[in-house]
Amino acid sequence: MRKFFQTYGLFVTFVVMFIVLAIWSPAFRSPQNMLNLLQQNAVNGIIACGMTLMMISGGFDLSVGANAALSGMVGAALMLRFSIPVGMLGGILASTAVGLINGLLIAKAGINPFVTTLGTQIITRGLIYVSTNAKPIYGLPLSYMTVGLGKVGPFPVATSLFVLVAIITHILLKHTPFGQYVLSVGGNEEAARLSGINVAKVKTLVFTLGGALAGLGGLILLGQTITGQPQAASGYELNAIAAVVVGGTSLSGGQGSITGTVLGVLLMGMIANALNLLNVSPYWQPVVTGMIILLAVGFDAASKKAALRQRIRKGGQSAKPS
Amino acid sequence: MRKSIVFVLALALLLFGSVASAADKQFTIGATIWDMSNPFYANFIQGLYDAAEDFNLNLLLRDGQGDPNTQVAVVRQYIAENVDLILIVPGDAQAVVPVIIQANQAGIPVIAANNRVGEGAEVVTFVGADDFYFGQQQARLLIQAIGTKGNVAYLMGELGTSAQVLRQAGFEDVLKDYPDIKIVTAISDGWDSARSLAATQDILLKYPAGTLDAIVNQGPAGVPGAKYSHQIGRTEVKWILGDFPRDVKEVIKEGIVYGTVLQDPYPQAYEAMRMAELYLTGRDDEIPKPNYFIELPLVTSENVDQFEPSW
Repeated sequence: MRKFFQTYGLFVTFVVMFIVLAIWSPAFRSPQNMLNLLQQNAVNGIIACGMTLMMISGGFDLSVGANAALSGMVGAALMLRFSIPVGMLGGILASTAVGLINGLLIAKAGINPFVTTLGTQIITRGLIYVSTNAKPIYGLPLSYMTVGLGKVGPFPVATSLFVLVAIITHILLKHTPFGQYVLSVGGNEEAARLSGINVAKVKTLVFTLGGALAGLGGLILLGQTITGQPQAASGYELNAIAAVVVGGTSLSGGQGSITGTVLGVLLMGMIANALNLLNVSPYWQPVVTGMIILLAVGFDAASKKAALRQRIRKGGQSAKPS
Repeated sequence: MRKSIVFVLALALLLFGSVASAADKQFTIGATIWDMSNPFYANFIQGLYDAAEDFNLNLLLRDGQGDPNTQVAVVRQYIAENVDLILIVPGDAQAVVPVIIQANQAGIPVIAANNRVGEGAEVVTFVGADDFYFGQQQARLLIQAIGTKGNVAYLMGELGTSAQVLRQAGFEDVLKDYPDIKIVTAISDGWDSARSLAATQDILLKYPAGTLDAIVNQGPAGVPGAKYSHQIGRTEVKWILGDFPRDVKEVIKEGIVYGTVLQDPYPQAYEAMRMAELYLTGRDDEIPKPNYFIELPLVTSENVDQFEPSW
């Protein structure tokens, strides 16, 4: 039973909360709200998938918010001058470049990920302000709102992109050699190096991918407002890290999953949604959200400790001569 | 883990139990303010609640947290909940246009208050201050303070917000007839008093005594800056602020600040709710359209005691 909860605790928490809320609030269980819930959390979800890989590899990225804004601004500027596809491509390329720089600084120059990505976060935001005088970019074609708020057939675009990104990163992590490398680099960098893994290359790739996904998130944000916002996505890096941590990925690397992250994103999103629907004061909402992060991480730490204790006890018994 | 789930549920019960009450036969207003942590909106929020009680409206109020995309999500949520009317204070006029279009398509009426909604989406009306007129009033106050000649530093709010853009346009509109008044520098303080103080220190360094006659701030964030310039003896620099919170009232009384333009957020909120009530009860023809402007008096040391601070 304990093992079951250790593995599926987050899933059970999610399902129980979902059921309680669905019984409680008719507004919550409406299909429109379900679609909304998925759509609202798509951007955080996409960024968090990239963050999961970065955190499993033993790092994390504080520049994803600024990087998403960069992608949106570059995208908006290019869309005005050329076309929507050119803008989207340019946006993704810009943020991928920032991701690559992060990766190179961390992997090759050996600067700690916290300092590196804090630095690139500030620089990126600064460059956006310099190049635009901190003014929003207006006048994008209204049709671009499809990317942020619209549907293709019955599928909301943003949600579909989230699902796609989650599936791809999941397969990448669990079913390819690259995923194994990421896990082993995060688990024990020295051992990974000794077993012949090109640690620097793995780290660089992971941060480049993280940058690209932040850029994709930024393009969706742009589609919600069709206004290039210099201040867009500030603080999103912490939302993403919170969701990843709630999803069970270890802050010290080597452990974690995309399924956990998806659940973490949806759990956090569901709570925010419920707090709104139940008309809880906006001033109280951050308090509740913060408590939930602490609870989730607290359970995780407690259950790991319990598991460790059990293992030690068992180990002790088997060591006795029979 | 089982215990912990019980704990989460108990927490949820505790939090939600008190607020989950059903309201029948009452119109529901979905209100959203772009940044509720901004003190300007404290009295605005009070106005919303007071009006909700007076007109028997069910008020939902959610925060845009200073992030346009968060506010878009809030409006989407209101559309999903099918509220009777959306009352919005946008942070960026243009950024909410796509989602207001979606509200229009869903047949939910929208009233804008305090800040405008940009072109392309339909709103019933806009209730608030005319920011262009606000800027003109600031310019008139400036001329009253320094005459028709002088060097002026201009401190603007968050760039791109409609208040910043329109106040600047109104300010420049009046000053174009006074070519001897020169705006020597224009800096954004983002409506933030710490940034405003830092900008003031820089300006006072760059323009030593005798080269600067006034500092005009689009909002009230300039109070620490004004106190600072007074402290270091730069009393020749006249200060013009915008809005009338308690600290601005004090510095006007102390003579540190020459004057301000009074924009009280309370009646904006209250009147916006009254417009919502008129609309929902079929008295659409009584609503001033497309704008319903609240008067903006000039406040100086001569009449400062007649006015209550806005927050």
